[in-house]
Amino acid sequence: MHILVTAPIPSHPQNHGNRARVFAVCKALQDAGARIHYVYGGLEGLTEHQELAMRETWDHVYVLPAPPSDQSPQNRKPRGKKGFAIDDWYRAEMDIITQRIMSIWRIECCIANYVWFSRWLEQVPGAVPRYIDTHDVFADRHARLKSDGIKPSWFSTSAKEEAKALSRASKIIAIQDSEASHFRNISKTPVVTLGHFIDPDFLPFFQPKAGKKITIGYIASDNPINQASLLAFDAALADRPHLKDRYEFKLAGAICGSPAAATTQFETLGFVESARRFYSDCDLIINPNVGGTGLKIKSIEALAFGKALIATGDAMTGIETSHPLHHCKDAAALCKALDTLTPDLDIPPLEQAAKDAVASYTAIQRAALLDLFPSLFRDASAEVQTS
Amino acid sequence: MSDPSIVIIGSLPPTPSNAAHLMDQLARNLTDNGYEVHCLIDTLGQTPIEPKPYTVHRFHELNDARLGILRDLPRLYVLGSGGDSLFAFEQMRKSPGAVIVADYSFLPIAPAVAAISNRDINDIAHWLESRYGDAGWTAAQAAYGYRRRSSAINREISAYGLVLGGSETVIALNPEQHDIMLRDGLQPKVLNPHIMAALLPNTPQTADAITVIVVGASTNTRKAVETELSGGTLKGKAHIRWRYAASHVTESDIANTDAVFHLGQQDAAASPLHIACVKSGKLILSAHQPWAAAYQIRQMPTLGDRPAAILHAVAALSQVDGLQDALIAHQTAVLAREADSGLDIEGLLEICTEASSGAQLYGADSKLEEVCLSTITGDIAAHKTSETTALIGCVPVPPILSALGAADSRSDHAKFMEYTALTALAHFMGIPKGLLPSRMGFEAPVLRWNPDQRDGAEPTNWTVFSNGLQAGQAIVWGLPANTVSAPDWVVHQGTAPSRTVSWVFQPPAQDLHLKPDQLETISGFDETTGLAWSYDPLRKIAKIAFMTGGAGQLSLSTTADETDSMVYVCGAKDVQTLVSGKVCESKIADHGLAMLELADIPSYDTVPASSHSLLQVLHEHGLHIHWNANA
Repeated sequence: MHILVTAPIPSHPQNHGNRARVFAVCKALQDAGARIHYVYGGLEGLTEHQELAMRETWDHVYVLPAPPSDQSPQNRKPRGKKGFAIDDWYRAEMDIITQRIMSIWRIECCIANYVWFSRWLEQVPGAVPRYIDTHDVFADRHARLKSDGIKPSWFSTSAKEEAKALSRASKIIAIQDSEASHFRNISKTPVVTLGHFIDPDFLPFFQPKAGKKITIGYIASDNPINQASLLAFDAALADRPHLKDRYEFKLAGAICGSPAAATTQFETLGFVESARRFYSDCDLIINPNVGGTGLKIKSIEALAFGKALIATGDAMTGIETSHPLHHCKDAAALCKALDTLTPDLDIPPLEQAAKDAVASYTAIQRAALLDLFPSLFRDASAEVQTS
Repeated sequence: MSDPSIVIIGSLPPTPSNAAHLMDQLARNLTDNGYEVHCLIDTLGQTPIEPKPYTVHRFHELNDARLGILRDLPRLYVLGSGGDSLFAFEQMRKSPGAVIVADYSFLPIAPAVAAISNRDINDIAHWLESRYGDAGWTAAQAAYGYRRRSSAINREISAYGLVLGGSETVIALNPEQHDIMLRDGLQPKVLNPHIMAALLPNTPQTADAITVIVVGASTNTRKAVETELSGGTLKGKAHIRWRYAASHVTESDIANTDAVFHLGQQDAAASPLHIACVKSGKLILSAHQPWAAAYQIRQMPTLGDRPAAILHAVAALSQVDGLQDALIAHQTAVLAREADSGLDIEGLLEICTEASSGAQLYGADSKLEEVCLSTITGDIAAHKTSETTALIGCVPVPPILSALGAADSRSDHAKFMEYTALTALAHFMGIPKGLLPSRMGFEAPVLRWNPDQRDGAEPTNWTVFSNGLQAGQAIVWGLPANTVSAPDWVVHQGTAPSRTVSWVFQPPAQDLHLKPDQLETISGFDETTGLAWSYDPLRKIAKIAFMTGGAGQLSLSTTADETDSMVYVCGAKDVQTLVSGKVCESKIADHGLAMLELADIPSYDTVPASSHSLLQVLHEHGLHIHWNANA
């Protein structure tokens, strides 16, 4: 089965949540036997190293050269309070390249990542399944960010424009149930929730080290939501300076280069080659996410490594879990939890809660994949049930 | 008993580098002393000026079958800081031997050596910092961060230890270089200076005139000296015959001169010219070069590249009785003192033998002709390509396809490379195999025929390859002979393509000349001509490849200036000199790939930043490529 996937972003390296999402979906399909045609829309530039990694991973890779910076769609200004028209960030060259691919290969399924990069689906014959992996709700996104105290950035549009894109698909993929409800409200196109799935890779249990501080890690990409979250946590930490006597705080990822990290109380590690190594080196992971939209991929990632996670409720939206430390009200509550934590007693149950949560979460996502790609996953599912 | 033999690896004149000149002098002197000397140079090195008293081999001539006795001979590498030494660095990594360093500093070539050794370029900055502290870090930033090439920094930092690493057997050319190498962590032996140059005949000059050769003077200096002599203070006071040389001087020139004013070789670690002049009883005046200090001639008159200094020196020589004789006597005494110690010729050979033991000399890679590829296609006009045709293998470039009657087929059909051709092309162009097909307008999957060729990727056979392909038929070019089991939808045709195509390069619409980082190999693909190209800015070599689909004859000509010449290499073995009025012809085998290299592109010191700018370069040199499949 040949599947045509388009995305405005590269799939490598997976150091951003959206890249990790695209990679996870395509890899699951490829592992099930699909041959992936990955079209990168060239919105973020591309190093030779990245391109090589993508070409070594996917069966076919097509790269749209990045436009000159003065012609980049991302430099366009929103059309008033409603934000952008749905195709304002679209690149017309996508129509040509996808048509050419379909004239050469028998494409049996098409997936467009992001509603605002989906116009080419209009050219796909009706008999071919056409999916939009939405990643996020973009209707009134800027307004929601503002209400959370975060400076609006990236793409935002109106519900009407978003619905226009949704009508191009035969099925909508939402990344969490709350977003699925929104899409069902504005579109008649069927909606399936497919969260971010990742194969569990549980790291060794927490081992108390006598006389040593507990290492707390926070890994994040550089975007306004993460910056606001880091600032909020740093402010809360400033109210409890004695926490630094018990814990050492390590920050990793692109956020280390942001203005918010300039005054942070974390030790900044910058971009780390191996996320697994980072999680392995930490005793406890935090996600102090404040507001924002979309699924928080880094929360899923921490759970998949079986790490003890203390997070805000916002950071766990779309993830079913009953542990109270997965639902802190805000950054201040998260700091308070750290203050009262007894590592030897509290970390092992948190690790178990992570494993339980990711097991149930992954099972739900596998079922969703079966629903979306029955011919690909039917055999694999039968094998699992037999065993 | 046969003569003792040695292989010297590096470059030779007319390549204008200190390393080339030193290698020539060493080879000559060893030959004069009864040694059988084999010099090994890069295929793309400039054609040596004949005759040579020693044997010269170009690298492409040394495939495994022809290495013969050279394989186990003692090896001596003569390395410098220019692009002409990269070949020797590459060989040295594979086949170690003793090393002589011709230049005072390796700093200019350090990034390129790091690149070919797969080392991180940041290692250079770290090494400089560890060796020179903050000043080293600042120098690295200036040289590589801001691309400020400074001869003053090169005079301060030799970087021998950075580039050589310490495991090589190193031979210093003089005591000063020896001390620098020791400080860099190397363990050098010192060479007897007499080995660097042969004793030349001394033709007595007439007493009433002095013959002077000025080496390495700038044009402005030359003009100023001549103006001064014709009407200035020296008019009528001195009888001087003046000659000028760009960088190096021939033996007969030295024999017929009284004095050499040496203003060149500012970046050299030693001067064979200096040694040769002194050994021959000639007066030599230098210009603060590092090697001049090494031979303790700092008390003698030294010159900058200034007309006044030259004229004052000449005036002194012509007016003070006995000055010439005194200076020559001093030089000779210094040289004799240095000669008391250091390696003699036997010692040099011994060290080279020891350093070369345990490893053999490697030959050139296999040629594409040795791969079993053959063309099984012909006049595709009869099979007017439709939207459902796959073009496979060495698909001819658009101009050839058009000549074959498939003018509409340039971009409408999926093209697929075959693995053997891909490997050859990727190696030739210096582009990763994973990136090359898309760069040349091919689809990603690559046909593979021989499962034994596996290098981590799964072999693709017809069944796997054709899964999901819309094409109802395929036409193939240049595939391995074992493709007889191809399914029926592959169109086999028996006759060879029979058309001719010419590329006469026109000025492109844009003229983009940039100077990217010196380390980058720039590459590109021009869809219209079908030429894939890369440019190596350090070696200054343009590589051009295109698919012909089958056998034929390639002809190159140029209408460039008559004095200009380029080294032209086809298929990594057919070396010719391309000059105006001459047509270079090469046979292309049935593999369907034409791969040519152009070195020494005249007057060209910028780097093509795009296909447009490469086409501009080819246009400026009046390059004409002609392909004749009938030949």
